[in-house]
Amino acid sequence: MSCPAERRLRKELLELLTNPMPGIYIDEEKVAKNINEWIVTIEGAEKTIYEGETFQLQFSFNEKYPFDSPTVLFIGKIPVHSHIYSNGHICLSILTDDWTPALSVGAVCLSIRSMLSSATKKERPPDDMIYTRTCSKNPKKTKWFFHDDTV
Amino acid sequence: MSKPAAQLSDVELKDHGNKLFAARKYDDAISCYNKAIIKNPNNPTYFTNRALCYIKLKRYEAACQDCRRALDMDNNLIKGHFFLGLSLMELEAFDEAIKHLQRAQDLGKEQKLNFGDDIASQLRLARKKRWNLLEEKRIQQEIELQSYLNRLIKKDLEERLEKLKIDENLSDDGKKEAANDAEQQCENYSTELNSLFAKIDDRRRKREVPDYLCGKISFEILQEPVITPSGITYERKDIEEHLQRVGHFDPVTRVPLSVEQLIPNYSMKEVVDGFVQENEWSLEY
Repeated sequence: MSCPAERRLRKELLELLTNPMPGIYIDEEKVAKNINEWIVTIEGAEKTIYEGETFQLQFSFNEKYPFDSPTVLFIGKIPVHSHIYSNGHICLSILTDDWTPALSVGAVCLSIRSMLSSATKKERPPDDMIYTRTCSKNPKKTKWFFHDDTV
Repeated sequence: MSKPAAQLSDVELKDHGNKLFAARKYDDAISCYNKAIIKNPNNPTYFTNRALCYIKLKRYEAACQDCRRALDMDNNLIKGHFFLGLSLMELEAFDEAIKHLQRAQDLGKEQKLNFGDDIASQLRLARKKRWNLLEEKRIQQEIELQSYLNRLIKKDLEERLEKLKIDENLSDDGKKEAANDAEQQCENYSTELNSLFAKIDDRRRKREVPDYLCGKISFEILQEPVITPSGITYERKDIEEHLQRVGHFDPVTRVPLSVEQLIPNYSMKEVVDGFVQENEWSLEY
């Protein structure tokens, strides 16, 4: 029998495939190969500054999921946003300090999509240059400081 | 120097057997229990111990026999019922297996002994296996019924067409028209019948445990539901792991939470048990 993390991921996958969320698409083939690595495509919502753009998120899960948060980053074309660094790292509290096992892939995608939607200006974080040069490859290792809850 | 086997008491022989069992020397352990039983045939433990050896050796009939003899001496032996249930399950006598596993579980509760999830999970497994077997039979029967009914419709059509041919009250055109009608009608019957069976099939595929019966962490059907002061229900082992690993707060509401505040949610347990009773496919083990 598979481990609890895998069982839960399978349930989430099934749910997202049977009841898809608007603007959020799962790369089924990739997930079928490895349930611990997901690629999710996010569409910029209508009437926002990202309308018409699509971005890809990479989710990596370990065997302690959902007690451990997934590692989530943008890959490929990185949206220009004040909480998203040019290396794809995302400054979002639920991905680290505020993670709870009651959250899910769907909930994370929704948060990221609404984070994009509420932006009014396309700009990189002010410390983008310094952060991307000094940070670890794993965004979960960053000691984030969540200065701003309004965006 | 140790005593020769012939001089050992039955208890010493049993202890020796237990050691051999722990060393996984099941055949040797059985021979010790055999000797202990010859010396004292009235101790049920020797039989249940030997039964477990037989189970390890996959000799389930012999295991059943030993369990039954032990239970004849004392019908409240948890191990007797548990091992008998396990063996019967292997022999695919699911009804009886479930009866004994259930009895083992009830006795465990009465005697306030903690076997962890062992008995409960074997009981779920036995129920699931029984259900799978019955379901397979049901599907087989449905397929038979469907093809039988389809054959009847076809046969009926043939008979009607045959009758039309020899009907002297109808013109050739009339015959043609009547034959077309009959064919059309039978085709409709057949389509309807098949779609009816397809619906049953579809319902089978779409079986799903409702979200409200699932834990908010594992997303699986609740087995030991506990409720927090926030009114959220979790599976006990999951919320305990969360409190230990993630933090002392309610995962859904983020209100501070400690393990002492968890209260068994018996009404939820009843609801889940009722659902599982009606939907044994949902059993997980």
